[in-house]
Amino acid sequence: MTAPGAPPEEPVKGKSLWQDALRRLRRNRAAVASAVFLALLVVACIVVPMFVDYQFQQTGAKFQPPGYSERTGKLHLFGTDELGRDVLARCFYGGRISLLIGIVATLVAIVIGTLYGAISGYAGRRVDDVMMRIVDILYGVPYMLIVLLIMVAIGKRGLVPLFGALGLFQWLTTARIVRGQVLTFKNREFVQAARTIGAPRMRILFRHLLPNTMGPVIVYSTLMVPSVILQEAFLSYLGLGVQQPHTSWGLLASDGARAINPIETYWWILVFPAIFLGSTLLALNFLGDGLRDAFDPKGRRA
Amino acid sequence: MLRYILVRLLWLPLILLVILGITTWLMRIAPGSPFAAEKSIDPQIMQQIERKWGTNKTGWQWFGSYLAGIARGDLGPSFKVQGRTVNDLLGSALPVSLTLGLLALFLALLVGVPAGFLAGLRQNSIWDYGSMAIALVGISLPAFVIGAFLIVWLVFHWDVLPVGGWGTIDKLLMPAVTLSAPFAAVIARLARAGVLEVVHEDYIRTAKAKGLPKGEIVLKHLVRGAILPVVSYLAPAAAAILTGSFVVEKLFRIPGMGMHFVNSALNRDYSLVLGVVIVYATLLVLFNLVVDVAYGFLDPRVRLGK
Amino acid sequence: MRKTLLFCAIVLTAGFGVVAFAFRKSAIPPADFTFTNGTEPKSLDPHIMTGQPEGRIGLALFEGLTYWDPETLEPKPGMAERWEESPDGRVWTFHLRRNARWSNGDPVTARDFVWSWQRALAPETASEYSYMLWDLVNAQQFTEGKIRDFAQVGLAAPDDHTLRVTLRTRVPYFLDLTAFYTLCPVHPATVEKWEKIGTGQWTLPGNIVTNGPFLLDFWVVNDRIRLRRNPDYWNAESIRLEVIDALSMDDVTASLNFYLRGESDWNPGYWPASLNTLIMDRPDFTRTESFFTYYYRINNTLPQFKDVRVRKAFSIAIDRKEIVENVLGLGEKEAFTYVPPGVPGYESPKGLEYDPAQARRLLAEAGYPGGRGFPSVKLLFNTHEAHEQIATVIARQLRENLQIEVQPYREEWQAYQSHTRTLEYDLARAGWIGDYLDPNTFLDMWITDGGNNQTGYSNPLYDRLYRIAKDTPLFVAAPEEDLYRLLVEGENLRSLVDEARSLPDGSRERALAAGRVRMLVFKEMERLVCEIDVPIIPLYFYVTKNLVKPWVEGCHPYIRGPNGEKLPNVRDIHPLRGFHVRPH
Repeated sequence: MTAPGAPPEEPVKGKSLWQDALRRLRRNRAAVASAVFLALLVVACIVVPMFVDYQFQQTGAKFQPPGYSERTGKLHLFGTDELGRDVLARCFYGGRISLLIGIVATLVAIVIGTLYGAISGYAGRRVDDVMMRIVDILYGVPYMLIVLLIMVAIGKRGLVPLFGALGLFQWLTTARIVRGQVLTFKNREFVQAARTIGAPRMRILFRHLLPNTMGPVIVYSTLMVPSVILQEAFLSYLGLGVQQPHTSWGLLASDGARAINPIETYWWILVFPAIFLGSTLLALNFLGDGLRDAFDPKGRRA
Repeated sequence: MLRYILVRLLWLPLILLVILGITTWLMRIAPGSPFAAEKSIDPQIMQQIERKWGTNKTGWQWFGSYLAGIARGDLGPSFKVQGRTVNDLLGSALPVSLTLGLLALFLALLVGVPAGFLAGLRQNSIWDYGSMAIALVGISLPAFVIGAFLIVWLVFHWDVLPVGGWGTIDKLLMPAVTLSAPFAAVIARLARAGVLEVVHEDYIRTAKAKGLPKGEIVLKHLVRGAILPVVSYLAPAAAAILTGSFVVEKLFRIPGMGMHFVNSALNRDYSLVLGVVIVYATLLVLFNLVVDVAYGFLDPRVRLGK
Repeated sequence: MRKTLLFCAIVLTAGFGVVAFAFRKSAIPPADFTFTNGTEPKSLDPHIMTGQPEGRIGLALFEGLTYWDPETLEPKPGMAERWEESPDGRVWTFHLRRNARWSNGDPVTARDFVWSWQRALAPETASEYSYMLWDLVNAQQFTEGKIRDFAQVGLAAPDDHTLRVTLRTRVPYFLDLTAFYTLCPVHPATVEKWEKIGTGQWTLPGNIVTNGPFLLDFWVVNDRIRLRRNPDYWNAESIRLEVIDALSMDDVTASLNFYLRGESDWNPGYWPASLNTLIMDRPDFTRTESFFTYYYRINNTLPQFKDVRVRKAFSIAIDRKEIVENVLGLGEKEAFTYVPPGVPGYESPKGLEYDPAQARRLLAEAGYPGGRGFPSVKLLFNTHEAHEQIATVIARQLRENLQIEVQPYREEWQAYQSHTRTLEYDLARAGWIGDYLDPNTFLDMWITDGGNNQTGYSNPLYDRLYRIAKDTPLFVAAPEEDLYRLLVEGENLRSLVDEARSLPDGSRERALAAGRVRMLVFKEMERLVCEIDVPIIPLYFYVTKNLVKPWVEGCHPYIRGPNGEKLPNVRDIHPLRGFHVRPH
C-alpha cells in the first residue's frame, strides 16, 4: 500500500471544504437527480405501506397481471404474485427492509472500520503494524463464503444476524481509509495545538481527528450500501436471507426470477422488484461517484 | 523483488491457517451433520459412521489431522459425494471455473475500460452519464436477474444460444456475460476515475489551455491513467469472479467451484468446504501478489519491497 | 504505453489459451436418451443409496432376484429364474439363472446374494434402507447388533444357484421388495478390494462391477452420469437404448429450461411449483396419484400442544381445499388421514374434516377462548418455494380461524432436520414417501421413541397395536382381552382373530386371514394418529408429475394391473430399461 500523500497546499478550512464539495456536487446532474430520487424513494417506502389498503401479506387471486383485477375487484398496479399478494405493496415493504439492511450493515462496518483505523493510525508504530497486518490477512479471506457460512452456522435467523454478517467484512477498506486520514492529520498544527494544551488522547482522536476523516468515509459508504443490498439478494437467492413476514427486493426478485419461464411469463413479479432494486442501486452508485468526484476533485483515492 | 515475493508467499500459510480455523469452527457450530439423512439413523450406527469418517473427534483433533493431511497434499474424502476425494472434485471443477472466470474477466475489461475512458473524458456530459448508466447496471442487478433475462431473450425468444451446460464455447458465452456484468461496472468506474485524475494534471491542463489537439502523448497518459487503477482491482476481481460464480453456475448448470462451495456448505461436507476455501484463499493471495508485481512493472513510481 | 500494451497482450493470450485448452477435446457425442435427474447422486452403491435420482441409476446398473416390469411394475424373474413359496408364505426358495454374469465376467451366485444382503444389514455399512430386509428372521436384530452371527439370520445358500429366504411371517409384498435396489447384489471381491482404499471408491467408473442392463460409462460430478447398454446382460435384447445421459441439476428452473429446449427428453417433476398450473395444460404432461403424504408435525411435548383439543383444533382449522386448489393446483388430494389410498386390502379411517367453528370451540375448551393467551407459533419448513407458499397460506388460515399468531419460519435443510429431530419447533413441515405398498411403511413411525417419530407422540395403545401387527401376525397367541374394548373396531377385530386361529396352522388360509387382521390393526393405528390423538396434521397427498417428449416411450403414469386394469403408478417408478426413443 502506498501511503496517501496529502497535498500540502490543500487548506484546512473545515467548512469551506464541504461547501466546495457541495458546489461541485451540484454541478453533477446525475448525482443530484440520484439524490432527489433516493430521498423520494425513502419517503415512499416509509409512507406508501401505511396507505395501501390491502396488506402485503394478504393472499388472494394469484398471478393477476398489472391493472384492475376482475377476480379481486381491486386495482393491482403491479399485479399479484404466486399467492395473490399485491406486488406493489410488497415492493415498498421490501424496500424498507432492503434499505434498512443496506444502511445498518454499512453503519456497522463504518463504526468498526473507523474505530479500528483511527486506533491503528493514531497509536502508530508496532500497534499500527500489527493491526494493519491483520487487515491484510483478512483481505485474503473469501468473505462472501464466510458470510454464507456464518448464516448457515447461526441457524436462527432474524434481521440482526444478517446486519452483523454482512457488515462484518465490509469494514476493512474503511479502516484503511481512516487510518490514512489519521496519519495525514495527526501531525497538523491544530492537533499539535490540542496536544500542547494537554487535551486527553481520546478527546484529540474523537474531537479533532475523526471529524476530518469523515468525508472520504461517507463517500465510500455511499458505495457500500448498494453492494450490501446486492449481497443480501445473493443470500436471499440461496434461501439464507430475510424471513417472513419481512421481504426484501432481493427476495422478491429471486422469487420472480424463478417464475420467469418461456411458457408464459409472469414478467411483473420479476420486473417491478428488479426496477426498484436496480434503480435504487444505480442511484446510489451515481451519488457515490458524484460525491467522490466532489470531495476529491483530482480523483485521488485515499 | 524476489525477496518481496518470497515474503509475501510466506504469509500464505498463516492466512490459510486463520481462515481454515474460522471455517472449521463455523462448520462445527452449524446445526446438522454431514451424515444426517432424511430417515433417522440409529445413534449406534451414527457413531460407527462418525468413527469411520473421523468426525467423532473433537474440533481440535479433527483440525489437526486435517492439517496433517494437507501437508501430504491430501484434502481428504468428500463426505457427501461418496467415493470422491476433495482433490478429485476440485481438480475437475477448478479448470471449469477458471475458464469461465477468465473469459468473464476479459469481457469485463473489454466493456469496462472503454466505457470508463469515454465517461472520464467527457465528465458530466451525456456520454458520461450514458456510458456509466449502462455499465452500472451490472452492479445494480443481481446475477440471477440478469441471467434470467438473458435466458428468456437469447435462448427462448431469439433462439441464438444454448440454454446451458458445459462443453462447447457457445454454451460458455451467456454465463460469461452474466458473470462479467458487475466487474465491467467496477472497472468502468475505476477507469473513469483514473482518467479524471490524469485530465486534471497540470501538464494536460496546460496542453489543453494552449489549444493543442489531444496528441499521442496525451492519449498515452490517459490510457495509462485509465488502466492503472483497473490493474490493482484485477486481484480482488479475479478472486471474486471465481467465488461469485455460484449463481451463474446454478443458473446455467456449470459443474464448477461455486456449485461445490454452496452445496458443500449446505450439506455440511466439511472437507469439501475447507478444500474450496483453501483454493479460493490461495487464489486470492496469489492474484494479489501478481497484481502488485504487475503494478510495480507498470508504474515506475511504485517500488516494491521497501 | 508499450509496457501497458504488452501487459494486456500477455494477459489476453494467456486467457484465451486457457479457454482453448479447456475445449481442446471435442464435445462428447450425444446420448440416445437424456433425462433430468434432479440433484447429484450421493452414491451409486445400491446399499447406500436413497432417493429417486440414485434409484433410477441404481436399477439400471444392478438387478436383484427380480426386476420390475416397466409396464406393470410386477416383479419379473431377474437374477432368479424361478422361485417357490411355502404355503404359509414364510419360506422362499429362489433358483438363480445360470447365465447371469457380472460385468467383469464372473457368474452371479447365491453366495454373492448372501454376502450382499449381509453387507446391507451389517451395522457398519450403515445402510439407511437396511430395514427393507428386516422381514427376514433375525435380520433386524443383526442390524441392531443384538445378534453377531449371520448364520442365525433367515438367509442361506445351499448351493451356488439356490437362495433360501426365511421370513418372520408372510409378507404379501416380499417379492416386490426383491426388485428394490437395497436387495440388489454387489460384487464381493470388487467391493472388498476398493473399500480398503476408501469408502465408495468401488462405485467410480472403471472400478465398478455391475450386473444390470446398463454399464456405467462415465460420471462427471454436477454434470452427468452416462450409462451404456450392457451387451452381456442376460436379457440384453430387451434393452433398446444404447446410451443414456442422466443430467444432475439442483435448480428447478434450469431443469425446466433444459427440457423445454429439448436438451432433456424426460423431466420427472423438476420445475418451480409456481408454474404447475401452466405446465398442467401441456400435452406432454402426465400425472397420477402418488404414495406420498405431505403433513405437519406438531411438537407434542410443548405445554400448549399437550392438550389433544388444541392439536385437534389446529388440524380442523386448516382448509386443505384452498391449498390443493389455489397453491398446488395439480389435482392433489386433500389428506385427512396419513396413509395414502392405493394399498390393496387396506381402507383408512375417515379422519377429521375442516370445521373452523368446532376448532374455535375446542380451543376455548382447552383454555384459549378466541386464541387468547396462546403463545405465538413458529411454523418451521425447509427452504423450498412450495413449502413457503403452503406455510404462508396455513399461517393465515390459523390466524383467521383461531386468532393465533403463526409465524412461518424457513431454515435450510440441515438446520431444519436437526431442529425437527431435537424437537426445537412448534409446527414443522414434513413429507413421507411409502417404500412399498403396505400401511406399515407409514405407520411404523409413530411408535414411542421411533426414529422418525420426531413429535414426542407416545401412546402405549399404539405401541401395543404395532407389536401385534409386526410380531404376532400369524396369531399363535391371541391379543389380550382388554385390547378389544379399547378399540373402535374391537369386536370386528376379535371375530377376525378367532377366524384366523380356527384355521390350520401353517396353511395359506390362515396366513391370509391373519393378513386381514393385520390390516384392521393398522386401521385402528391410523385412527389413533388421525382422529383420536392427532400428533400430526395430514395436509395432502402428492401427485406424481412427469414431462415426457412425445417420442419417448417407457414413462408410464398408469401401469397395467394383474387383470389388465389401469392402475396409477403411485410410486412413480419408471425403470430405465423400459425406455425407448422413436426416431424424431
